[in-house]
Amino acid sequence: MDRDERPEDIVKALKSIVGSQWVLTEETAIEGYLRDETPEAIRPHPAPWVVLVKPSKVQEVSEILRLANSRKIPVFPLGGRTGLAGAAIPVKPGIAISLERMNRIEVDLENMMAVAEAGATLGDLIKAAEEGGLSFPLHPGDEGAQIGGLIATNAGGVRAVKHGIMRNFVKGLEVVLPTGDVLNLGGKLIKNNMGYSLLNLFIGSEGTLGVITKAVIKLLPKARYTVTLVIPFEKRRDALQSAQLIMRTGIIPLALEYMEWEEIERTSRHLGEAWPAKGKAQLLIILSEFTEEGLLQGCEEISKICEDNHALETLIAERKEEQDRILRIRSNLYTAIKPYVYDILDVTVPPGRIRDLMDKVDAIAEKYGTRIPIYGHIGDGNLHAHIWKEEGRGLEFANKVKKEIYEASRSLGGVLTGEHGIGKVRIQEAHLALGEKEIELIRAIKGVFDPNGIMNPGTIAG
Amino acid sequence: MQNYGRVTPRILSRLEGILGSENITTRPEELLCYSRDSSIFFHSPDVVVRPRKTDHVVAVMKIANEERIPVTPRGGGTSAAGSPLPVAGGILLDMSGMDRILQIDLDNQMVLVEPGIVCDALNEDLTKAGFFFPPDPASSPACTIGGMVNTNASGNRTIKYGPTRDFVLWLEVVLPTGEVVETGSKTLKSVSSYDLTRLIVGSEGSLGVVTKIALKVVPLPEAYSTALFIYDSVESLARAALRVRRAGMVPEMLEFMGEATTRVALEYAGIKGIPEGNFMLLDFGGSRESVGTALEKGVALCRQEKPVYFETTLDQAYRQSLINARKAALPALARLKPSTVMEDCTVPPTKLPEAAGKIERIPKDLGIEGFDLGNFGHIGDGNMHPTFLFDSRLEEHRRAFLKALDLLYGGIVLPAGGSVTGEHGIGLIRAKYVGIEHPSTLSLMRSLKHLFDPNLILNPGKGKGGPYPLT
Repeated sequence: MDRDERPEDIVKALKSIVGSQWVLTEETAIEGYLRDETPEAIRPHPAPWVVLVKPSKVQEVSEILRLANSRKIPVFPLGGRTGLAGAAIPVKPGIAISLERMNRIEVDLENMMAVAEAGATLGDLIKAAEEGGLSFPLHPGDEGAQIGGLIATNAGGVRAVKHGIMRNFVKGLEVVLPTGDVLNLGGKLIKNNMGYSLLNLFIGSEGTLGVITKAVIKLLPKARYTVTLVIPFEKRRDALQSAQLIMRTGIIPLALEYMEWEEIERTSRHLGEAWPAKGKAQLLIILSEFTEEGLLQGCEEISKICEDNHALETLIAERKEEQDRILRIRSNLYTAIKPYVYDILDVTVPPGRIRDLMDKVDAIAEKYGTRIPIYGHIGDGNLHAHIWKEEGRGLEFANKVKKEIYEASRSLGGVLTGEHGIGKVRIQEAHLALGEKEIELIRAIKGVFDPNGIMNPGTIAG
Repeated sequence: MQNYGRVTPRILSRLEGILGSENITTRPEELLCYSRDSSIFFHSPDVVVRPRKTDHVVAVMKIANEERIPVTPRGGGTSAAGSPLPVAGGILLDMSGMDRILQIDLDNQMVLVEPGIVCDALNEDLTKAGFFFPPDPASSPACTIGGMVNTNASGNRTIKYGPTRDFVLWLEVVLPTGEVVETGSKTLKSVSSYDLTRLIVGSEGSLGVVTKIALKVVPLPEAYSTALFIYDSVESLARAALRVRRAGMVPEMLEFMGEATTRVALEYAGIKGIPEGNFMLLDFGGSRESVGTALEKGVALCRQEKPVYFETTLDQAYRQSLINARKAALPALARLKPSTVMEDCTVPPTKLPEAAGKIERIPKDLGIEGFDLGNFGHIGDGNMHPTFLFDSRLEEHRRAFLKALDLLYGGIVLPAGGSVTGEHGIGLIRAKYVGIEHPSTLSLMRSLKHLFDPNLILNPGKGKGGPYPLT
């Protein structure tokens, strides 16, 4: 439905569902809801008109979808708009649903699970878990991200090596289908083997199958002993070799990150904070254990490996404030670099191939006479490579570089995106990478849930 | 049920032409072997076909789809739910001949295998390199990786590592139409499409035939520490398990056997000197330094529920014999009565003590002479295997069995917010409960089934998309 005029009867019907103060149409009021954290150069443009609704409960979401489905109006579920692939941007005239009012969290201490509404933020969830003496380890950077978005994109981030990514934490979902039907999938069970795993289809579906309204999320006991290690090296090769050897010991860190000095320095400056160690190539490792012995042994083994591989030093941060500061700088690497780049890529290769990938990325940078700053979650083979805005070289240049990095990843058995998702900015490339039959299946699955194609058009299935 | 095509001599000769006569059989004594698994059901195929490579599977599926002949894939035949039994006859696809390990790539924490490799055989190779594939069902000496993928198998170590689904990175799948798709990627993370891999995992061979599998593997713990507890009541045992979880401890295993099971399983495994009662095994894995401390803490927690007996061990051989005893629960119970039916219910952890107690009392509530129950399972995950022991030749026992199931599911598990299957899957035995547990999703599941398998030839009557002969 690509009409120029906003259908006023729809606005009226929406107002009667959620109350008139929760339906917004003024451009100034909704502007902020029409963009995410995708670099501006490649960010999709929002449609000429969008109605923003803010439902307060699942019944309202159900009624909104039923209305939209009957009129075949596109629906765009929004989270915290922290995405990096334009997934939540309404690119067609239609209804944008912000779930920010549905933000309750209940922590079930006995079962160690949280029941969180989709609009609750990551920050809220971490806080609620901690207040109950538990923890939610995942940390994809921006704590303003919402639960619904984290699930819809199957988010990853820094602390995903030990306990896995979002998919590993979601035990149950409440979702609303375009028909308005409400599904309850899974529950507070640790194991459930009944039926095809629809739950897993919704995780990572980027709002294209239905609207996630609530989730049961596994929490972990709070690890009693946590340290952050910062280990600088002169040579990248030595840092990567150490990381590889650490993963082979059986010590599974909470986080295993690689970054380089230029990005660290830029970000520290940006935040006005100091990074504890100098060195061209650095590892950031978070260890979290239940016993002091386990932690000490881990630290010792890691320092020994790094020392043998020419680490300049091993800094161990024990105080919480210091560990938080280090994580804050790491989480802001992207914020600091964002103004200077066309795109942040999210290629992922089998973890043992990460060194080959970095070499290939270097060669691409040299070939194009540009710089491609990299950092990433090397514990799971996920590298963020950034395409630098070179003066006088436009998007065409960026696309060429991007294509070569994708090729490099695929030639090493990798994928285009490990955690950011296809969204709206990688759909063409993603379809090139998938087999014909796979695309056919994906489209058919989309059709089963959303026969009228109203859910987040232009994402994943096209 | 559908109107299916028949396996005619013409079709047999086409199959023979593709696979060679050594890989197909219709001999009655062989068909008999393929008519059973670990469940109580019996269904014979018309022909057994043993593919050696993906191309064989493709060719078989094309013929079957053209001629509308049912195809049922089978791994080790250890299913407790009837999943690999050909209810509509037709072609039985014995995948156990495709059993090669194609690649062990430890730098990438990945192995590439064919579906017929046996779980323990794979782990034997991995252990030499200090790694392992954690899901560890009691049937690990005989079950295949392909079967584990199709049922999303779990086992003793799921409490720490998660079920099979968490380890499957990539699949090669032959669809019922004979088309081959690859799903997922050999990376540890990917969000490049809908997650077809995890849809296929647990689909009980009803969406496609899995022909190659990339699995994530992990380093073996350096050391283990183990404790055994005997409790008077299953309620206090369950409360002890809950205490361990609540303290935030993540054991390698947290297993239990009810009193009746303990008696026969210890005897079966030749372990002497342990008093009667309900058995709990608490096992920690990790660095040499950490397992001792963890055990000390775990024991202190479990003792708060006043076990009548406990012992701890660092001896690897004794630890293994305790694990073997726990793994022997089902075969040991099976010696007691002519009929043994194992269930697979799961309840939220907090509901465990109450549910375990009620389950224990089912035979008493029924009050039928000779109708017994042995319970055991993965208490740490809330997953129990109440096993009914009776004589199915007696009308009274058959009636009592159906009543027992209603008590178990209708009276205990579903009201507690549980699931009728934690790990064994639906198969034949639980087909009628799918609609009860998932009224709102059944039609979606059926649509997905039709989308992969428009002629409904793949493992009919099982999996999740129906058609269900038992409903």
